[in-house]
Amino acid sequence: MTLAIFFVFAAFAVLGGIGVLLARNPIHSALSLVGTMVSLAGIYLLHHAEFIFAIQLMVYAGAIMTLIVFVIMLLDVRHEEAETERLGFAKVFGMVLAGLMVVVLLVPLAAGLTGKPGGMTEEVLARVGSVEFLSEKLFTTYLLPFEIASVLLLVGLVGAVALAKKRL
Amino acid sequence: MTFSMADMRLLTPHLVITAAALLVLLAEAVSPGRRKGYLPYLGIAGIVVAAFTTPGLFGPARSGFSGMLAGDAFAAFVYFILYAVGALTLLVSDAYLRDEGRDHAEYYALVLLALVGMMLMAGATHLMSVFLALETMSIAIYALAGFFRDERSAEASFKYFILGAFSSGFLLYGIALLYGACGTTEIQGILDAFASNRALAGSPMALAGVGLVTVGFAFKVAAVPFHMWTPDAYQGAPTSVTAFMATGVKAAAFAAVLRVFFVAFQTLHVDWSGVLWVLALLTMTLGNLTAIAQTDVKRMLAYSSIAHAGYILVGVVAGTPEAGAGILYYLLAYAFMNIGAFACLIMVGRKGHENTELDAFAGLGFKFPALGLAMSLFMFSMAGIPPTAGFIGKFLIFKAAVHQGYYWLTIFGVLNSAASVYYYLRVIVTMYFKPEPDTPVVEGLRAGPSMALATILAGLGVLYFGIVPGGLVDLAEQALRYLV
Amino acid sequence: MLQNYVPILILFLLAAGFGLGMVLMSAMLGPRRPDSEKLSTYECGMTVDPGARRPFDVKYYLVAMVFLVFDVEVVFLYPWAVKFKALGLFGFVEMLVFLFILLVGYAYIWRKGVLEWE
Repeated sequence: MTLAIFFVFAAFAVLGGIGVLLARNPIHSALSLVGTMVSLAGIYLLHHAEFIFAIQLMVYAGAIMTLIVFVIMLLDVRHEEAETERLGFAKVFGMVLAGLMVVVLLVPLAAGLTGKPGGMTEEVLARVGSVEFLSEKLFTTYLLPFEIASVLLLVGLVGAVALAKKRL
Repeated sequence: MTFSMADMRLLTPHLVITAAALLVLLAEAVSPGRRKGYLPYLGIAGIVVAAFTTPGLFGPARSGFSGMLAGDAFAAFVYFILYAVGALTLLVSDAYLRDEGRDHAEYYALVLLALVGMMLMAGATHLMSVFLALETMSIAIYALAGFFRDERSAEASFKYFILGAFSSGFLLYGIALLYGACGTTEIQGILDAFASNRALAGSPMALAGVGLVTVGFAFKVAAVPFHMWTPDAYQGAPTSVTAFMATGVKAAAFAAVLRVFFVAFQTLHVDWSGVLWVLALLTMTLGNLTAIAQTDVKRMLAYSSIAHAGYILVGVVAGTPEAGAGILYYLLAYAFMNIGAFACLIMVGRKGHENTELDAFAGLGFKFPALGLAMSLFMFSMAGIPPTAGFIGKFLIFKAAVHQGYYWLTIFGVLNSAASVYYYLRVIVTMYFKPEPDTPVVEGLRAGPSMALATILAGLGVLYFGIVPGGLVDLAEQALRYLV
Repeated sequence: MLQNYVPILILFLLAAGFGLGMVLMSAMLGPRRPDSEKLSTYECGMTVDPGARRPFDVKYYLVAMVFLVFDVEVVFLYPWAVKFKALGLFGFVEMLVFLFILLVGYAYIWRKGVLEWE
């Protein structure tokens, strides 16, 4: 059953990704991306990452998508639509990179997964709670990265103002 | 609880500079939009205070925050490079931004926050903190590159942002694969995993991880073929930001590279040294050949920075503590000579006109003797001519490469270095032997006391460490002893 | 543990099915006799202004960016709240530092007039 749901989400995620690439209207691309984000959220949930599932919906499918739509509206993208047919250097380069990425993805899979199994199995997570476990790690072991994150957010804030505010 | 006051000791320099950045923002919040000439000096004061808290980190290696941050001589050495970069950048920026009418608090806050990111990158001993620090630094620099908001500046920011985001993706993906293979993202932990399990080195997942991490860092240090963004980003950005990017980002990125490749991937040297060998050769050669063809000094310095990344990569390939010490020395020398050279570029410009074409320099050597002297010194140092720091840096790295038997790479490096003399000396020749055109391009210099001070300090650094490098080399070697 | 999410899944499917069904039904069942009047955009009293898609003002972007930053900040508060008691005073101070840094950013954008609609 879980596996079946996984495949449904995975299929939607891939379809969304294809939609992002093929849609001629940038807004449709953005909507396809929402589909991918939501499907990914479903996959995270299937992996028992409940917190990441919630964040994926809140931050990615919500806030970041809003930002992307704003940016699309900000740049009057209609002019760009006509140019998508040309096979320029950028496209070829992009395809080569995409191909390389597929190879990188498939090679470890084809060779058999050699990764180390982690300690947080379904049973352990069910006992300690996914969010509780994350919280404990985040605020003790990962204290420094957590505080760096606040500086990172501040940089984003100041950077956005520096670049986009009309009068500084 | 995995935290103690000893941990705070390791973070003090970062905290001081973060506090300085917050003060800058608060000052702006108190009187928004008002001109505040003291801000760059507030930043410099922060850097000086941080510098006083740093020497305590020299000595035996310590690690704090559950293995997230190192307090070792290596980190301390790089911090000092970054202090020099940060303070010189702020000094150079003051008069420049005021002249361009862009002396806003945001600039100084972003420089300081980027500096914090760079320092964390140099001290991070966990790939997660490396990544967050890298992002903190990069996002600040994207905004700084576009700070002038004209077309060139926006293009620089945009190109750097797109390719930077791309490279972050590679790096993060590599980190994820390494986590899958090793079960940890701690640098020491990765070393242990590879050392204890011989088979792991052959696992495709681990190798793919190493490869992607290599690509991610190669983007950041602008190694060929991941250098496409460099010329436009360096040329379009405000000149003071270009100097900051070329020296600070490079120092931080190479510090992280040293930690990752010399410690985490230590046992895999056979695997990655071949790839980096090719990257080093390509980077040196392409950087130098394209630099020769440039007629704009700022763009030429962008390509020259690619070439310098190539020389440093030779040291990474060698992979010994000796080479690492050479790299640290080189990064400091490069900081002095590069910021100095960019300061000279700022001086010849005026509001809205950068005047960085080579022809603009004709006759300037006699018209402004001090500028001519300074620019010549920095060009000599970049070309690697004794008795400058640039020479010692190249010498240390090439010596280490020879000791490891990389004869061919060293020969290519020396040949490249010889070729680079051509375009560095061309600037000097233009300054002294070409008559100034009848309608002078550069009428006066954009020099204030702070700019003069920065140039003099950079020049003294280049000369002092070129003539008496002993103490610094010892320190660099000590830094590496505790790293590996 | 995943069983808890089954109702959400069902709700999700129902909502998606309802929306999709309505669009399909109106397309299949409704009569369609288009003429130029019917196809034109309805605008009360005025001549129809073509092109609803014009570039947005950049200040929307600024607001969206500020929203995003504080949205992410809030995200960190959830796991902290879950383990608030266990984390104790240390966790409290830790979060204060985190919030303080962003609070400075907040004071900055407030005084800077980023939140005003000029």
